[in-house]
Amino acid sequence: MSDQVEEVKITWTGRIRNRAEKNLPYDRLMPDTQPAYVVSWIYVAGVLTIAALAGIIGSGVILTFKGPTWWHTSASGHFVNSLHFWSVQLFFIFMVVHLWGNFWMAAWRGGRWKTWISGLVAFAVSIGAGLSGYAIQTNVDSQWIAFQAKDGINATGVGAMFDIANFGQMMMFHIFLFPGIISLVVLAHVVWVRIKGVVPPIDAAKVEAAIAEHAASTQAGA
Amino acid sequence: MMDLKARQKEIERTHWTGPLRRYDIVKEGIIACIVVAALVIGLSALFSSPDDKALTFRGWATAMPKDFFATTVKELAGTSDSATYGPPYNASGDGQAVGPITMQKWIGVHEPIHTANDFVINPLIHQQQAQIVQNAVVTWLKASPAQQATWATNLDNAIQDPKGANGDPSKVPNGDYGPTPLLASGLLAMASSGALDGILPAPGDFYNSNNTKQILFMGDGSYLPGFGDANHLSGNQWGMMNEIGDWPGQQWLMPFSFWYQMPFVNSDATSGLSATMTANGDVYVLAIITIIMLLHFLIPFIPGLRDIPRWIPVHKLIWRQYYRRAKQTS
Amino acid sequence: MGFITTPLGAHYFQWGWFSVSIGNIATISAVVALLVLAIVVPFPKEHDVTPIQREQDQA
Repeated sequence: MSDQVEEVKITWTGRIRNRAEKNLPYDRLMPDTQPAYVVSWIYVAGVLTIAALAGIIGSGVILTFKGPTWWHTSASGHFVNSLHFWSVQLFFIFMVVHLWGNFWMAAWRGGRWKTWISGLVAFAVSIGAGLSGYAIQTNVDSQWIAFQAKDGINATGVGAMFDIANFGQMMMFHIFLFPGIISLVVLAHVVWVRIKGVVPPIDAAKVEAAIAEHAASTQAGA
Repeated sequence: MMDLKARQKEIERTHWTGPLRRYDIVKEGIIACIVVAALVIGLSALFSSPDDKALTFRGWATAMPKDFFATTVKELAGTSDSATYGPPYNASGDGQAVGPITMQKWIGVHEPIHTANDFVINPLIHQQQAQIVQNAVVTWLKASPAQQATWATNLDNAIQDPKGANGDPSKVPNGDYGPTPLLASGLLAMASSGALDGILPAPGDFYNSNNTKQILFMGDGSYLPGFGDANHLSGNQWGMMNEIGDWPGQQWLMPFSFWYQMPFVNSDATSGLSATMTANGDVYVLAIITIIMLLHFLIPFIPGLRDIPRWIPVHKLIWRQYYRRAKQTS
Repeated sequence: MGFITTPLGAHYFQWGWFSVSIGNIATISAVVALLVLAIVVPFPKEHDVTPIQREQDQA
């Protein structure tokens, strides 16, 4: 028994498992209850953002199988492109609603700054992902956006590694690098929400004190 | 009784021990997916998505042959936007800078482009040409760089002369242009036939996945920029966030696009601060955006910024259903 | 100030140096409308079950 504890303490694997079990037990990872204050549609915007991301990835996978120019010549291809296009629009719409909602809730309180920053990182990386996507449409939009965006990117020096006019590079960025980064950042974001729990309201202590007082007075009365 | 403020801090930091409610996140997620799928399918069916054909060099040479010819001469003379761009394409300029911070120069040339060779000479060499054009290429290649520059610059100046040809190559007076006119008309013929579209990106190579040369060359003329202006897509038209037609564009770039409308990056001044800022507009705008982004990232740590939600209590609305519990008990 | 139609048939709202396409007006309005709705529309009551009493001592 003591051997086992010892082993868990000294192996890297054991340490990681111990931390995970402590910080993220199953009932926190997949809870079926939430604090009583989780009553607002604002909370739903985050889930909708992830659902839109699923739509982007799903339609993107179909486009991947068919190649980058299929959608110019096929009506169903164009429809799948439209699915991709509108998923992206909705993704950003929901993400901005989620971002503003969480700003007004001051959702970074109680050591939740990692969640806040990871959300903003997801937004920033999504802008890059969007840009690389616009650059690989293989139509006049891509030509124009590559022509325009190169100056901004080059001006920062980043152009040496991020050549928006390089179709091959943008393709790899768009279908591998950016989705990979976004998925990891979103995963971390959600895991941090689950570890810390949804941020309590700004006046939670007042409400809890009032409830406790009420309970105490009814007990005293009885 | 514990101080309310300290209690609030404790509630925020520790795992919630107060009242709970049922909340099915898996069900919520699946319903969200269904709702989003329905929205996406509906919007796609209703509005479709933009897809206007790519412009071609053939299109440019056919629609605006004079502009194509004049641009080709600029590429040979080294006076085009691309030829004078600087890093990452060439060392003929320093690129943009914020004061002493010259990122573009520091990172340097990573994708060398020599406009005369890459845009004109190599494509001409890699296709069968009329004898007269072949001879012109040979004459050009045998000449010294100084001689090449003299020929091409003479012709470039003659075409651009506002009192003379004023942009129309057919009105250029005789002069010491060497083989330049034949090279330009040879490339114009090649472009008009459609051959340049295939050859330009990678002359003599089987594979091609990089379109930088095409984008740069096409951007040097008036064809592509004219398309952008006509479609309301140029930088100073809020074009960064616009799309062809009535479709929504990258409206999430609004914070970027906003700064591109500011007078200090659209100045006509030839000297002074606003001239410097306009010439380095991109890097100034991106520097501003970087600072704004960092401020957003660091909101949790910046007193004042992080207190805004307390001062403007939207949270009372957001959590009103929960806050009501306190009233119901009192 | 007002709506303009470009020669190519696209629609823009223009006010001095400000310009925004009709598509972007739609998406930006959607963001604002959704934010306002998310804040003011009551969350459905049927999800609300009797609060589970706090396990810990209330003292």
